[in-house]
Amino acid sequence: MLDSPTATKPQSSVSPTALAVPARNRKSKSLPLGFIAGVIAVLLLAACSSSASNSTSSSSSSLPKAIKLVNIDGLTGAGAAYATYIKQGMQLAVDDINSSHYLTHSSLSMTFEDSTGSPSTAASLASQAVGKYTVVFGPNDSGSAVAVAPILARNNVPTVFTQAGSPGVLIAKNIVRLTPLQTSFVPKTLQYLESTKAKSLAVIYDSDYPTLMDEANDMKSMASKYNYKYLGSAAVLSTTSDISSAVSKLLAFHPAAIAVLLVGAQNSSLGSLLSQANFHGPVISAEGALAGLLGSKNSEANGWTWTADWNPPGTNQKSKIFTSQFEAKFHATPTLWSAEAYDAVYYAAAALKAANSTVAAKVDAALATVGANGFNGILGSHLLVRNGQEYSNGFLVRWENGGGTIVG
Amino acid sequence: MISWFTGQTILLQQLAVNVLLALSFQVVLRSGVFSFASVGFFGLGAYLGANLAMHHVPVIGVLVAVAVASWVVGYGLARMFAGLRGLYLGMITFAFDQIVVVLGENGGSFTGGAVGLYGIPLALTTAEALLLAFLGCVVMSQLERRALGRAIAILRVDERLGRAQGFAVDSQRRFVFALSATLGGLAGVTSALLTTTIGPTDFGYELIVTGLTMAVVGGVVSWAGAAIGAFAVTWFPTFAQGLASYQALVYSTLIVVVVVLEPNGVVGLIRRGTYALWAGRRRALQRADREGAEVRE
Amino acid sequence: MQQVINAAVLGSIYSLFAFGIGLPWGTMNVLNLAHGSIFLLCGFICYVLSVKARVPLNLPEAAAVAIAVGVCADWLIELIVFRQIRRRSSNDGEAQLLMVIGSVGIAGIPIAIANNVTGGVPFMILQQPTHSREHELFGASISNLEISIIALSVGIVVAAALWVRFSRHGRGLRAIAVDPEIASLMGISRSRASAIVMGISGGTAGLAGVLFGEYLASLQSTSGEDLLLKGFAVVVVGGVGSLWGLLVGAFALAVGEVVVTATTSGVWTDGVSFALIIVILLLRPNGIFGRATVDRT
Repeated sequence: MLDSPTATKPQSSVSPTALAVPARNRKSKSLPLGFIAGVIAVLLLAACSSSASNSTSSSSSSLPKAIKLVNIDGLTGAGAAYATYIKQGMQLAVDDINSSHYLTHSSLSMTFEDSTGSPSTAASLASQAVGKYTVVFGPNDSGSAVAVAPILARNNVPTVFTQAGSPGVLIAKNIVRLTPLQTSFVPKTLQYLESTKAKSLAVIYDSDYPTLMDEANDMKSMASKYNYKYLGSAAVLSTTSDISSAVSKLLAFHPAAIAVLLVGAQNSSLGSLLSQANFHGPVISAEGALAGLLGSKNSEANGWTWTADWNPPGTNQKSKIFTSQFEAKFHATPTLWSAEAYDAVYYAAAALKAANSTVAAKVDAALATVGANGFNGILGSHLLVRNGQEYSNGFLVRWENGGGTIVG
Repeated sequence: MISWFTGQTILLQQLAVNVLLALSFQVVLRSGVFSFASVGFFGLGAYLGANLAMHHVPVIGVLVAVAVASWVVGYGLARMFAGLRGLYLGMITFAFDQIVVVLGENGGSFTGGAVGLYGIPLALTTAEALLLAFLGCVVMSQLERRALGRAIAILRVDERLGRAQGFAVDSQRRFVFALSATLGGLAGVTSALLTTTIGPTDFGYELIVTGLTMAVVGGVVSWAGAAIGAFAVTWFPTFAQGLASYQALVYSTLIVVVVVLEPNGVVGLIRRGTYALWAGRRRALQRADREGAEVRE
Repeated sequence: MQQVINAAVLGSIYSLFAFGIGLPWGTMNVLNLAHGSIFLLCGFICYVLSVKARVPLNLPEAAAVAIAVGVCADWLIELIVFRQIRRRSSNDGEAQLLMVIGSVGIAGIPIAIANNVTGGVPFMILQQPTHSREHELFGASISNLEISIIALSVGIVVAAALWVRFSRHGRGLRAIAVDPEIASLMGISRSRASAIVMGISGGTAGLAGVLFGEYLASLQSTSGEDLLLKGFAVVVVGGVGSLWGLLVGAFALAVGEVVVTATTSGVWTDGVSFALIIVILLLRPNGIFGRATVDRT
């Protein structure tokens, strides 16, 4: 009998359901292999999509024609507004430095990488930046900064931070932070309080922000020095929207003056709550108030006074030039974030000029020396940088007419 | 090429942590146990591991200690929550996670308070972390293939039927809960030892969302789903870099699309795809079968 | 005395917000994690209209806009996400989990849009904060706005509770909550009921957004999430499925938080809600007023 082609297949007489079992086992045995194959596939794919690295010039003892800088920050996501102010300040600085030939034959280029506000993305971008850029400007929010700092420290990359005020950032000699610590401004604010002759003070603060907690403690311990009585404090969390019970507790002390150490929308709420409670005494605050009040233009916070590291138009010549240039280029009044960022880029450029090299070790050393003897920037004419941290005198700022005004 | 690897190091580290975290969600969800507690154990494991590492305990000791502690505490919690089901169990484990966050914020020098701990010794290498994640996958895959794994899967579909069949449902639920806690704890300590930092902002509501997303989008039915979900979430920012300000929007929309169109996630899609291919092949064989029978007649 | 008023206002806000979470949960077993995000969306749309587009809106007009936005948004979610998931899922438990994840995905969308536009900076919902008149009450002050918040919130929840108890449609809703299949056999349309429930939920989210936005003088993109977690606590404490329980739970939580803030340094305030969840779920899993007979597997 002729064998039909199909009869040679013995499996064809087996029922379909029996075929199901071997197929299943086959699949689950091969899945771990498939998993490993998947791993390799994704890694290769990611490899193809990322650009090749190029190392910065390492051996020359003069500056190359093109110096690459990078800013890693959350340009999208929560906190995007501040990252944008910083980006604008940096763009202006890079343009100024290049057009004025500050670095003679070299020009700067700044790449902006978006960490979307996520510390893990920031960390990933930071590790990719190693070896590619001469100086890295880190994220302004503390969470991302703390994630990024160990990576840049381990790889000895010259790093500049603005804002990012938490511990765990200035962890190595190659890192500098060019925003003065808010706690260093408390004495100036308290001096203003003394001048109002208010006899007592109560403080409301966010307990999950160590900087604000430190400031609250300072206001407690410096009471006798500035001639007021410290009555007590009320703490809330930055995530609390309704702070009315804390405010009632605060007002129950019957203070002559109130200190507001809050973040975000809480500042605006507090303004309304205080005016509702008919409190008209002096109110002192901290830099966070500006961020919180900016979007709302709340007139109920008029008169709040604090010390900031900068406010337009500033007091020195460099400051005024910066303010008018910024307004011309971006059609908006600059903020302290832009000013800090502008100074940060100039500071880095000064370090590059002093080091006359892009070798990491030399740039690190220069970052320290430029600020050791005073640096002339927008934030002040004699800014000091010690152990990576910047110090300045600060400006007394008052909230009026939907914006801050320098009053001292 | 070497520098490319250093650049991807952080992503590989995050992958290792994410795989462990995704597995911790997948193993409970596959069994129908709505527990989100692994995120709380992420925090507890990270704090415990960080403190041990800062006291110079060797890495193996740290990992074992965290695993054992997570198992014990997880089992105890499982006993406490034994009567709860469904969304109620989800709620209470969610509350447990948030309490761990509050404890972390107020934990003094053990947790570093609201700032957290930093400067933890870099005790794990990327390769070791990936090995740990791989071992987790192997263990889970073996678990799924054995009788215990299949029995656990029944719990998700119909718990009463499982009980009627004689399965020791209660002890199985406790086992799965404790396993999830251990995986969560290991994920936490791995993260702490790789990034050298841990703080209350690293775990909490957002991590719950991330873990759930990884497990559900990848596919709750299998450990492979957890791995796929972990890959997708870890590499999404890299692939989506061109999207700039629309990244978050696209991410959220993708989650909704996957969840609506394919309840079993990517694994479900793959299985449907291979089944369809196989069904096509089966039909061809059946046709050949019939033709062969006709000829033989 | 002022603290009593603070607690009353806080409790009212919690109850109005939690109502939008508790109603779908109690009647349709839907845990809508996007509720906080819709709350934010409504406030955000008011901001876009009054501040960006400079359309002069007063408080009642803004409220109307917000309610309309909320109703439409929740309807969309029901039609596009929840209904599709229910259709494609094999069992209720699976559908529940997928709806939770789906709502998480949806939640990300308004937040991403708000972040894109505001950049994380707090925003006002009206051009100028309304100065409402103050009244003296036993040595404390209460404003018109606060009075209307209390009256509206409590009024809505009480009205809803009465409606569910005594009206025909309300009875239909309760029937669906007990057993959807039998209810549909009795002629109660599940899809219409779910549309009504989600519409009411969205409307209350909008109203809460405007009231709270005015009370606080500004909102920011994270405002919804914090309330969401408190909303869970309220629903769990009061008992899922009971609207009277919702009121009790909301005021209990508000009183608890005010007491903690007033007597301690305030760092443990957030922990109150989570501790309450755990205590209630362990001791009285059905909440204070919950139905003990419903089997939720």
